[in-house]
Amino acid sequence: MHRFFSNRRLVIIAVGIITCLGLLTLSVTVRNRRNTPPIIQQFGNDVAGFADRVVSVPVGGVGAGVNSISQLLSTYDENQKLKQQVDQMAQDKVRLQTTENENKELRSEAKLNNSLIDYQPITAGVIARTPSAWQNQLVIGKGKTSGIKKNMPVLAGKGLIGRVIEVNQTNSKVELISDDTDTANRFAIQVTNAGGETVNGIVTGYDKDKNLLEMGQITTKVAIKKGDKVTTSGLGGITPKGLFVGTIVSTSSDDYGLANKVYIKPAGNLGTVNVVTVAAKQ
Amino acid sequence: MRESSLRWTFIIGLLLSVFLDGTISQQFAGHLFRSSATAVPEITTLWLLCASFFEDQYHMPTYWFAVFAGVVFDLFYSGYWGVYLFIFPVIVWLARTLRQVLPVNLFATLLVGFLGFTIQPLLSWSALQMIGGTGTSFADFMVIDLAPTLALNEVILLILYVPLRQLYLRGARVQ
Repeated sequence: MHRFFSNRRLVIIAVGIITCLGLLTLSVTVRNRRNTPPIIQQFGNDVAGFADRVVSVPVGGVGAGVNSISQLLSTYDENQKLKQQVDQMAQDKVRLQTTENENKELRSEAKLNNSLIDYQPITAGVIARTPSAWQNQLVIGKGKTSGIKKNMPVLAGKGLIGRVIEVNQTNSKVELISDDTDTANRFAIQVTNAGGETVNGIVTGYDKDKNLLEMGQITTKVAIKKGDKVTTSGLGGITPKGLFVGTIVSTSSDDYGLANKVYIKPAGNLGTVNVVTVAAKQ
Repeated sequence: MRESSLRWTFIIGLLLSVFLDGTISQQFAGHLFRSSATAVPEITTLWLLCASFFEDQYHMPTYWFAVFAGVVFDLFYSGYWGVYLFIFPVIVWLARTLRQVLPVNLFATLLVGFLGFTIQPLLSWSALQMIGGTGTSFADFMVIDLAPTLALNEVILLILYVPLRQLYLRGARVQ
């Protein structure tokens, strides 16, 4: 016993391991319970966020150069397609405006001030990504001072990409929907089929090999098929209704024919994301 | 005089590599983080490994700087305390121990790199697995994550070997 503790290196290693395990336990508790991390962690993150911008701006320039070269190759085809879409867009926009106005009038008549759909978009730049294969997290350049709160949904590209898990003063961490952990918050989603019937469920996992989201907890027998659109349902919390999640790729039923498992192709861009929109519910 | 300038080079290089890891991951996520193969840049691990393996008579407080880099990683990137805080000093210890038994040449450096680049993700995966912070299975970890990560970082190490070695050799000569 005496000899064991007289070995200085062993003591240092033991103390190191115990300290790290203690810190790990503490941070799990803090992460799950509190809305904001401890002051010292916030301060450290804000300083690191500032320093990170010094490095990320020049690297961003290089990255943008590489991306634009690869995009240049497909520009012509893309331009043709986009021209057609722009014409269609103008028509859709006018129709949307008319419908939106009508919706507003009808809601004020029905005395519905805020519905589940309303949200305030907060746009933020992405300043870093966790350099780890099993923590799919982004650090975005806006925090508490811009009105961001924990658990707000985050969008990029066409649809939902994740949620805010940690809020500091000037930056926040976003957990992507591809992060399939025990502690991940599951989004409440719904599918509306061609007949207008709605199926509710939640995101239960992520298939890393196929790059597909899994939707589970479905208990109705309403038929849904490939190509149906999936959106957030707005039930049970801070996520607004109607955020685009993705389209259905395949469905399968379990052995009892009750609960379906549905695979969804995510609409949001989970690769290189430079700008995200945080949806703050009004 | 020379030793202090080498020390500053080390500190600035360490800070740069810490933020480069996150920035490279972000800018090239579309190329690096694919669902079939994930290659994670480990510039910080590389910098710490080389500094500890190449340093000759200098006595830099590398452990403390490793702890510092670990704190930044934990706070800024991971959000969990105590993961990289533990891993980075282990990396330094590994390189210093191996320096006593290996000659300093390209192949030995690549071997040390191989060990370091394996131990870093292995330890961080184990820590997160323990607290339920990841859903990646061990098989997926080995095939999808570890192999491409090793390949990417060994190539970076191969490119950076000569300039880094020269840096420390010149430091030794002037001293």
